[in-house]
Amino acid sequence: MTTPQRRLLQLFAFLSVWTLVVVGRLLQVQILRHDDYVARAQRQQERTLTLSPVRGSILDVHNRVLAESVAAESIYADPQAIVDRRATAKALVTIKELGVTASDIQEKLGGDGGFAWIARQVPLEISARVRALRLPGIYFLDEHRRAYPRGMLAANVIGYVGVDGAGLGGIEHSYDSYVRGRPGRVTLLRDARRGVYLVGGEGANRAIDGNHVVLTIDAVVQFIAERALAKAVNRWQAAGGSVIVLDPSDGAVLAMASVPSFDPNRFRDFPPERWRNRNVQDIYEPGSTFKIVTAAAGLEEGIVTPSEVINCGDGVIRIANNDIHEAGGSRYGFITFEDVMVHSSNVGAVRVGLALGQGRFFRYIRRFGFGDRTGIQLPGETPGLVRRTERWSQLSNASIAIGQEVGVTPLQIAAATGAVANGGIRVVPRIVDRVENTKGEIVYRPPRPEPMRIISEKTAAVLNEILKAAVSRGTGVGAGLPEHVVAGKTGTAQKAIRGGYSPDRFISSFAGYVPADRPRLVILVVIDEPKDDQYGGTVAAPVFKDIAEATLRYFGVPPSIPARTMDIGSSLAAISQESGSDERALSGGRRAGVPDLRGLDARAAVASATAAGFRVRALGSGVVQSQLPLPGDVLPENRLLTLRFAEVAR
Amino acid sequence: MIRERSFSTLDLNFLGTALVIAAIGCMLIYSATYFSDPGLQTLRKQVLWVGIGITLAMFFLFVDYHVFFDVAPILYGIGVALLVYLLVWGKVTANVKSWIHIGTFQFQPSEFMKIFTALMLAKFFDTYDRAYLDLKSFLRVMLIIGIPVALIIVQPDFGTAATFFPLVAVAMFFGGIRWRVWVVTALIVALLAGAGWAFFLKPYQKDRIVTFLNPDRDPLGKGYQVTQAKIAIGSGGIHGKGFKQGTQAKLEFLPARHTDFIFAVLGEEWGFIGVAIVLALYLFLIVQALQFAKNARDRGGAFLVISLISFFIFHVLINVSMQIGVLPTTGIPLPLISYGGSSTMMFLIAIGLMANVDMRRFVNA
Repeated sequence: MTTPQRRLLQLFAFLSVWTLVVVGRLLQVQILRHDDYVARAQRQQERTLTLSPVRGSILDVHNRVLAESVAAESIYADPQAIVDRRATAKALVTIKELGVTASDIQEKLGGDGGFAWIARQVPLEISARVRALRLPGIYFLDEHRRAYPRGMLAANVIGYVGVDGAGLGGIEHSYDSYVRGRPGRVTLLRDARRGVYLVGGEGANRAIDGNHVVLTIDAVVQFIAERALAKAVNRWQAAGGSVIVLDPSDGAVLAMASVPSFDPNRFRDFPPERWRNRNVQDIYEPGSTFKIVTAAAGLEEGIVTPSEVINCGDGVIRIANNDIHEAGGSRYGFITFEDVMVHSSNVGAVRVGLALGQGRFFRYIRRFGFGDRTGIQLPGETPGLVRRTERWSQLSNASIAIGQEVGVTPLQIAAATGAVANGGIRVVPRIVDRVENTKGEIVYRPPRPEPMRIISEKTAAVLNEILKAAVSRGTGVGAGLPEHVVAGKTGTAQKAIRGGYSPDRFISSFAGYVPADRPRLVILVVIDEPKDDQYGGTVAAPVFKDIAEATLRYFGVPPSIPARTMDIGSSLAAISQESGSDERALSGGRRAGVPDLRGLDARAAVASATAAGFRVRALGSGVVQSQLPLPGDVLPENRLLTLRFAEVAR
Repeated sequence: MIRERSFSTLDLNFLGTALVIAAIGCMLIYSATYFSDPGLQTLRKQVLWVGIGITLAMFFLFVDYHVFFDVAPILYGIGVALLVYLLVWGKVTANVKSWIHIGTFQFQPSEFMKIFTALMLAKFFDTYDRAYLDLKSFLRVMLIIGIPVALIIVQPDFGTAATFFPLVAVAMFFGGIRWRVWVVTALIVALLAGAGWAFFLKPYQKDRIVTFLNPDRDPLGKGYQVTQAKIAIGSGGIHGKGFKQGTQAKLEFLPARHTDFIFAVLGEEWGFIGVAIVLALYLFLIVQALQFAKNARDRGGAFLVISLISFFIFHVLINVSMQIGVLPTTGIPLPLISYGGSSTMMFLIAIGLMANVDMRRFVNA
């Protein structure tokens, strides 16, 4: 049987070759081209979708919701699973809220792709109506939609979110990484019969919800500010305007308004320039409000004192072949430096600016924060324009002294004004108080820089008196309040145009604080291109007044100017009642030890005590004879201060 | 006494390997069907057929194979009769008349016909001791093979008919053919192939051949099956995706995944390692069988073993080749692994017969 065996060997040799071909091919398919086949398998089996996490809310200082995410559904189609594309498109168009047209949908369904969005982030009641159509090949995905329940309120601060969930402006943008959370991934598996399975979306693939951002903004103050600003912009048919309200004690921005504004719920319906936050993104020449800086530098350097007489001549000063005039053609002659500020004399301010010299003046400008971003963490903040002294002309000292040749943001002016209000300590504006996770734990608190003194306490006090006078008997009289002393400075700046200054386009502003001797609010009002009138005292100062009055009332700040004919007994009761009801508003204030009220009369004692955050129990009448807790003690838990009065024999 | 000595020479490794392959087949069938067939009806039936197949294999193992030589004409006659019956009265299932239905069960006589034909040829070669086949013997051999093949081609089941080809090859090599006969045979085959393409091949069969030549031309059409099988095997890689983890199968991209394309499930889930192990098991069976043939006591036994193992070789090579695009798609199952009663039983009977020959290798046994 050797012959058949030998012949069979030939046969098996052939089969061995065949086997080698097969094994070689297997090696090629399974090992060499493995990645290619994996990709092909995935291409036909899988489609990965990103699950948006629930974006965190943006809250005001009292946890009022400014921005939140609400449940919504996105609708998508698998065109290959749709039997009748035309009928499907027709059916979808019947639901008008989707905002789709038949030709749109047909185009989306027309390709040979396996996926097409029909509508993103549709409110649930509308997606339910689509579901009721029972269209084959139309599927739903849980998503979230950004909602701004207060509409346009603080829109320029909060910003807005694109359809893909990315914050595109404002806090939504600058805190996007905190608010957005981590997206989950869901894999769509598709079988050969075009069925679809959803897998994933759990465990490590789960979406992690975003954190909440708590702002320093108080929605009520914001509302007050926006209403007052809008009224003024309307009244003066202005191009726009901005308002900042901040607390000088800690730099907290209580309101930041920008007009014209937009509704972040449908930001695309508004032109992009309305999305801007003028308070940090716009540079303007401040005009006379900048004289605060000039005065601070002159006083601090001992160049000038309030009572020093300055020659303001006949209303014009000639610098390097340029004439600088007083506003409105006034002629002040010899007046004190206080009156230079009270009347906003350009000539007087220029003299101080010249006396300061370039180096010193520049140092003070920088020290007040001009030329630097405040670091408020709002997108697009500009540092402004402050040229180095090497690039100053012979005119620069004079121009800058009256707020020209220098570009600032409203926020910088507000912060500089705040420094005077704060007794010379720099105010660093802040708008985000903290970031909390969904469990309420604080995950981030913006760092607060060490307090830094810009000008001495004495200079600040002197400047305070000057700014009080500017309101009580000067250009800022329109900002005055009946119950509070206001300090501030007006500004009327011609808008810079090519080759000089516009004769008829102005920026009117008022920067001030109140109550002047215990400032609670720093308010800056800027009105862009008012018609009919341009003076800051006429256009901007009344806006300050409106906002200050309403906000102080909302905070329950007791009047700081005693009404002359007030019955002590009844007003005492009124004050203590009022202060009791506003504990919360006061609790954020100063936490110094118990003040010494002994020897004060009833009104002054109660005013001081309530301003310091106490509830007062008054016994007797006359002047304070004794108090409990004693002066310098720690603030007691219940913040109750007992004052015992006694009549003093004269 | 004689029986005891026979048992002592029974090759348990050979039988064990076959059973391991059958067990792997059941696992793969489970993995390929559990999601579409939660009642596991497919798996239960396959297990039942493996059981019946083992019983039949016992019978074909313990009865001396010479007895089967003696009754070979009867078995062959029954087979031919069933094929004729099918042609006349058979029901058309999936385009072909291949199945005989008995109650809820159905079987393919063509599968069993392979065994009967092999036995018939073995009986012939048992007594044929010349170096070369003369014309008369050659024609006789061709007739023995040709009758069932012709009956199966007209069913028309081209794939199963092709599986008789190993018998031709084995008979010609075993019997010995002069080169003149080779030339004549080649001419006749070429002629028949041409005529077959022109007159007998159905369009779907032509499609298969065209598609084989260029499978990616039309990936969602005729080349779909091979493309999907290749994606399954290729994406399995070295280690595979794991038992029950085959996405190509589970998402139903893979056609005939528990029958003809079960090898793709193997490749996808168990990777190249799993493929190599299964192929190694087949190789072990083949090497063992060749050993049996060498040691066989007579020419008939040797021929029987070689023709039966050639079925295994042919089925494995064709089936695997078709999954990876080396050969066109044909409905040829993977021995002992693909779901199917008739083929599973046929291959188990073949295993039994091969072990039978080996067990009775000693002349005086």
